[in-house]
This record gives sequence, C-alpha cells and structure tokens, in this order.
Amino acid sequence: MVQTIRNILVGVQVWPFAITGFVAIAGAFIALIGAFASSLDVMEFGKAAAGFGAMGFFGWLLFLIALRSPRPEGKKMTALLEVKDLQVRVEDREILHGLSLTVNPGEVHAIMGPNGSGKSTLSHVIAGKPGYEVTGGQILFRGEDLLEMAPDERAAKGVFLAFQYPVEIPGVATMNFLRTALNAQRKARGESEYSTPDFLKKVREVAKSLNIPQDMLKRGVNVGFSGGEKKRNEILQMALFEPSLCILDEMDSGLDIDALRIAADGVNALRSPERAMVVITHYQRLLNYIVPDYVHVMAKGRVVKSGDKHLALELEAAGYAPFEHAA
Amino acid sequence: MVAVQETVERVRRIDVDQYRYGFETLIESEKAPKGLSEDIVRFISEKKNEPAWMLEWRLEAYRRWLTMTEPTWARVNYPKIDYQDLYYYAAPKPKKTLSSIDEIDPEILKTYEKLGIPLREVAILEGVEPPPGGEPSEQRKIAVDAIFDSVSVATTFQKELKKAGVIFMPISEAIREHPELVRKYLGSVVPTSDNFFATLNSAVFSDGSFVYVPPGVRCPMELSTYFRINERNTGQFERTLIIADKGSYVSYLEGCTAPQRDENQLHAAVVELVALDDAEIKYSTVQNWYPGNSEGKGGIYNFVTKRGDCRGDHSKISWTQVETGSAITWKYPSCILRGDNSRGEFYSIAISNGYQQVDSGTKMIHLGKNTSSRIISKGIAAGKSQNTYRGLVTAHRKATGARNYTACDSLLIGDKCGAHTVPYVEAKNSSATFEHEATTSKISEDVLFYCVQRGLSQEEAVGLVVNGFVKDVLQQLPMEFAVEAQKLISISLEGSVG
Repeated sequence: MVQTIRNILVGVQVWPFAITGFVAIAGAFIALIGAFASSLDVMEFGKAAAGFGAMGFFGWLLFLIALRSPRPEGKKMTALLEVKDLQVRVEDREILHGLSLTVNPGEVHAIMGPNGSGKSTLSHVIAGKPGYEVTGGQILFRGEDLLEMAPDERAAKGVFLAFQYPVEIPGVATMNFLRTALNAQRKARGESEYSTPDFLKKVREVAKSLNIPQDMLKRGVNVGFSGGEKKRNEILQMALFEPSLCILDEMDSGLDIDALRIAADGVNALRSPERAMVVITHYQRLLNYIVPDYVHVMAKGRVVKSGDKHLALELEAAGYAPFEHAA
Repeated sequence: MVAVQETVERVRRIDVDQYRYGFETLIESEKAPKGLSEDIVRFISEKKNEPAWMLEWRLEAYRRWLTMTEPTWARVNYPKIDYQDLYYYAAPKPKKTLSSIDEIDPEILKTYEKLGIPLREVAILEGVEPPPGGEPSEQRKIAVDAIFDSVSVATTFQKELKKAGVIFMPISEAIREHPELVRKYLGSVVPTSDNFFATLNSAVFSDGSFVYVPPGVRCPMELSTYFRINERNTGQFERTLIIADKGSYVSYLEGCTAPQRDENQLHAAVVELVALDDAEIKYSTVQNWYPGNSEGKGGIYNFVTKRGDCRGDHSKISWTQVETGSAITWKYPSCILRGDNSRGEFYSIAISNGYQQVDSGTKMIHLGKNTSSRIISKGIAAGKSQNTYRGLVTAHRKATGARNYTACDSLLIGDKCGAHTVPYVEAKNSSATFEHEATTSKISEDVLFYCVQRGLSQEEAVGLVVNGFVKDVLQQLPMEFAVEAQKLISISLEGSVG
C-alpha cells in the first residue's frame, strides 16, 4: 500500500495532481473573493474553476487507482520465496548451477531428487548456514534480499528450517531453549516478550497436540531423544514460532510409519493460507501424508521437472535415472 | 568453519579488553619499602600489633622460604618473578581510627559500590523470597569482609553474627582477640613449610578473614570476603582460616577483582578450612582478577593454596569455584578426608581466554574409612589460552571403602587454545572405588547454526551452549552468586552480552 502511494506520488504522475489541485484551490479562493466583493461574475467563475480543478484531481486519482489495481497475474509480485538462478559453491565445487523456484503463501512444494542433487544445500542456503558461497543469482523473501540477512534475522522474519539431524545441546533444558529462542525472535521483530505463564500455556497446548510428554521438555535439547522425538521437537518449534516459510529437510529419515504419521499430522495442522512449506524428501512415501501442491525434481543442482502431486507417483515408478540423464 | 571462525574472531576482539573492574582508586596509602627481608616481616608484624609468637611463626616461615625454590611442574609459562621488586605491605592511609563504617575513606566505599559489594548493612533481597511460613525478617543476608590491598576495611553484620556466636573478623584482629583459636588451627592444614607460595604467604600475609562457628550452630547468613588489589607493584597475600566446630554449618563466598595494569601483580593466598565431627563447610569462589590485555600484557599471577581438612567423622567440605580472571592461575583446592565417613567435593568452572594460563584442579586425599569424594571440573578454553586440569585422588592403606567419582570436561572455542587433563589416581587398598570420566569437545558449528536458525544471535548461542556445559557446577553455587557467575561467564567469553 505504502509502495503504491509512493509510486503514485513519484515521477510525472504527480504533475496532474499539482495542476488540478492548484486550479481547484485557486478557483475556490477566487470564488471566496467574489463572495466578499459581492461580484456574482467573479464568484461564478471561481466556483466553475474550483469544480473543474476538483473533477480533474479526483478523475486522475481514479484513473491511477484503476491502472494499478491488482490484476490476476499481479499475485506473483508478492511471492513469499523467490529463488532466481541460484549458483552455490562449497569450497571449489559448484553444487547448485542456476536453480529457480517460486513459492507463494499457502502453497506446499515438494522437492525430490537423488542423493547429491543439491536438495539439502538449497535448504541450508535459504536458512543461511555458513560454509556456502553464493556465486550467482538471488533469493528474495517477500521481495527482500534474504542473502543480505544474518541467519537469526531470517529466522525472525519467518524462515524456519526443520533439520534432518537436529543437534543435541546438553545442559540446556528444552523449555528454556524454546523460550529463549521465541523471545529472541519476538524481540528482533519489536514485539513484547512472552510472560512465563502465557508461554507455558502455549507450549503445553502445542506439546499436547503433538503427543510430546511434559518431561521431555525438561530434558536437555534433544539429549537422549529418539529419532521420532527429535522430529516432533522440530515440529513443536515450528508450531511455536509460527514461521511463514517452513522448510522440512528429509523429515521422514529415521522414522517408522507411526512416528511419521504423528509428525505429518503435526505438519498438516500447520498448513494455512499464509504459510508455505517446502518439503524435501527422497521418497514419495512422505507425500502420501503431506500432500503437496507442486512437485519439483532436482538433479545435478537444477530443477529439471516441475508438476503436481502426480509427478511424485511417476517418480516412484520410474526412479530418478531418466531425470539425471535429462540434467 | 565459518561460524566457529566468527565466534573465535569475536572472542579475540573483545576478551580481556572488556574487563569491567579495571578502574583504579586514588587514595593515599602507606607502604612498606620494596623487597623482602626479615626487617620487612618484622615491619608487617609490628604494623599489625602482633604478639611475639606470631612474629616468630612468620620469621620461621621466612627462613624456610629462603631455602625453597619456585615450583615449575605446572603447565604455565611466565617470566621470572623478582621477589625483591614487590611491595609486601600496602594499606589505605587511615585519616583517623575507625569506629564505624561511616568513617571509612569514601573513595574506598565508592570502589566497593562500583564493584557492587554492599558494605553497608543492607539485606540482599534481590530475587530471594522469604521461605513460605517463615517470618519476613528471615530474609537472606550476606555478611561481607572487604579487603583492600592488604587490609580489611570493613566487616559487616558483626553484631548479628555475634548473637549466634559466630566469629567473623579480619584475621589480624583474631590474632589479638582469639589467640587460642588461631594458634591452634593456623598452619594446621597448610603448614608453613608446605610449598613455595604458601610459605611466602606465611611470612608476609597481612590480612584475611577468620571464621569460627561454634558447635551445633548453623551460621545464620552467607559469609563473604571481597578482595581488591589496588596499589601498583604490590603483592596481595591474604590468609583465610575457617573453623567449623562439631555439628556446625557455614557457607562462605569469596570474590576478587583488580585494576587494569601493564605490570603483572602477584597474589599468593592461603585458605585453610577445618571441619570437625559432623560439620560442613561450603566454600565458593568467583575469581575475576584482571587477566591481562589482548596481547597478554599485565594481569594477576594467582598462586593460591587452598586446603580443607575434614578432621572429624561425618564432616563435609565442598569447594565450588568459578575462575575467569588472572593471567596465570595455579590453584588446587583440596580436601584431606581424615575423619571416617567424611566427604569432599570439588566443583569447578575454569574459563581462559586471550593469553590466560590456567593450571587448576584438586586433591582428594582419602585417609579415613568409608570416605567419599566427588570432582566435577569444567574447563573452557578460548583465544590463545591454555587450560589444564590437574588432579590427584588417593586412598591410603587404611582408607577402606574410599569412593571417588571424577568427571572432567573440556570445551574448546577456536583452534589456537589448548585443554589438558592430568589426573593422578592412586589406590593403596583394594576396597577403593575410583571412577574417572573425561571428555574434550569443541563448540560445533552445527550446534551454533541450529541455535541461530531458531533466532538466537551468535553470542547468545555461544552463551547458551557454554551455560549448558557448566550447568552442573553453577547449580552448586549459592543463588546470588550463580546469577553473578552466569553473567561473568557470558562477559568473559563474549563481551557483547552485558
């Protein structure tokens, strides 16, 4: 909105406003003088001028608004995440060679591909993990340059990465960690910190829905957690921080069917029109539980094919080999 | 390596230059001439109005010291100390004889105020609520003995302690007022001939704290001593003696700071604890002497002998230390488990940054039957520092059923620092059970990235991981100190926090 107003005011388009506005005011002034001078002619002239100026002013305004009103394809202008021709190196090896991807709010994208195709690299670069060198292209998050931001800034803006292998932090109680992180994010956004009772209430609610027992929250972060517990802890954080972009890196690795279902239910509960998800996986299996709107196949550092959920089923049947040749 | 690299850079930049207690107080002081001789020892003794037996004791130690050589086995390097180039006595010049706290030089009071040490008798209420059902007047208080250079300037809450029968006063006064107790216990744990630095201390110590808790008394408040070195080129040699008589309990805290100076200053203290039957002493230290600047210039040489004697059956002595300061730390708070069923504990956090060198640990000497001890040591090395744990656990022939559990963990931040663990374990009878665990780890880049992905800044992430690492030990500190220590840990590693 601010942007639109600025566009309207800036440049040539400001002159019609200036001219018509001046005419309207001058007309009104003349009409006033006429009224005081009891000269009917002058007053009539002023009224006419003022009316003419005002009509021009509002007419031009309506014209501009019509011109700038959002059109169907205008939605693309406000994509949540735009990866454009991204090239990334690790040490001396190029991993991503010109990858592009657009994700809009509310969408769920699945990224599939064989080992070494660059899926995890993509998730790490979006989240800002050190050690990767971006040699070309850009990543925009709501139109802002994500690569210019520190990883913690990105988190505060709403980028969340659910790790394939969540780390253990001994001696730091999970509850304490959650609270420190949530308040750090809120502080970065200029919001007030949660009070202890509010926070506890919120955590308990979310934990309950994910089948996470209270004593797990008292233990060190991920220390002694099973594979399923670690993944549930990731989803707990996702639910708590309410990010607008969730990247799930190989969420299914190391999970049995039951654990997978609990985790997937947790993720599905978080689907909303404002929130987008990028689900990275090897296997179609996960996509039975988290049904994507789009499926992208990556091979050798590029997206080689995009389609809807049926593409995943095709992959399951044919394997990745045809795509690797295509790349 | 990028994340770790950044952390290392940051740590390097801030470290020791951010020492917050580096100011100097401008007051007139009275000093003995430079150097050490029998005359200086006599001078100190005379200044303190000491009885003849005390002077004799000092002179004996001095003569002994002349025959000794500085120990070199510790993993620390420093240029040779010229013991004749130091002042052995410095005292704030009194304007007149003091009878109340209001007569203390306001400059000194200001110093302690800046350091956050309450010398006026104000109960510390911060965050501490009275126990449910307890009367509001039972608020926790801390009695403070403040030592400025070589002299005790104020001891608070004396009256209240007296009511409970607890003696808490500068040791120089105790020598005059309670000679029978001092004569009986002084040097009974750390004899005058113990080691080079302890012997030097015995000859020239100028002040320190004295505590006596009578039988069956639970000391009604935390006792605390605050040490401050102010004068240039002075050594501080304080002597602390704590006696917990049968069935008594006392918790004692010690804190230290010094101004920022380019020269190195010597601090050679001796602390002796005696616990009789069923008595318990809890001794906590937060040591934050000036560590030197970012090039390793200046800083305190901290050569300290601390030892507790569990003399009675069922007695217990517990050492907790948070060591963040000093250019060189040479310190091994130990327990002699003489009484049957006695228990010794040692909890330590030693943090080194910049060019600091730490060689610290403990000795648990099991002499009585069914004695037990526990050692939890957390060493954190950053910058170009060297951090060594050196420990001895020994059970003598008659110490049947001795038990020890030791856990030494080291954490490295960056790749230019070192962590070393040198444990000595000796069991001279077959019924002893000794356990030893040791780990060395680095703050991993993955852990840091995980934390920043969740919205923590790099500094907050390091602080969180380190605090998790030292949690077992922090829990041992009295509450007021734990908060302080946690802050101190953040400051000594990050600087940008706080």
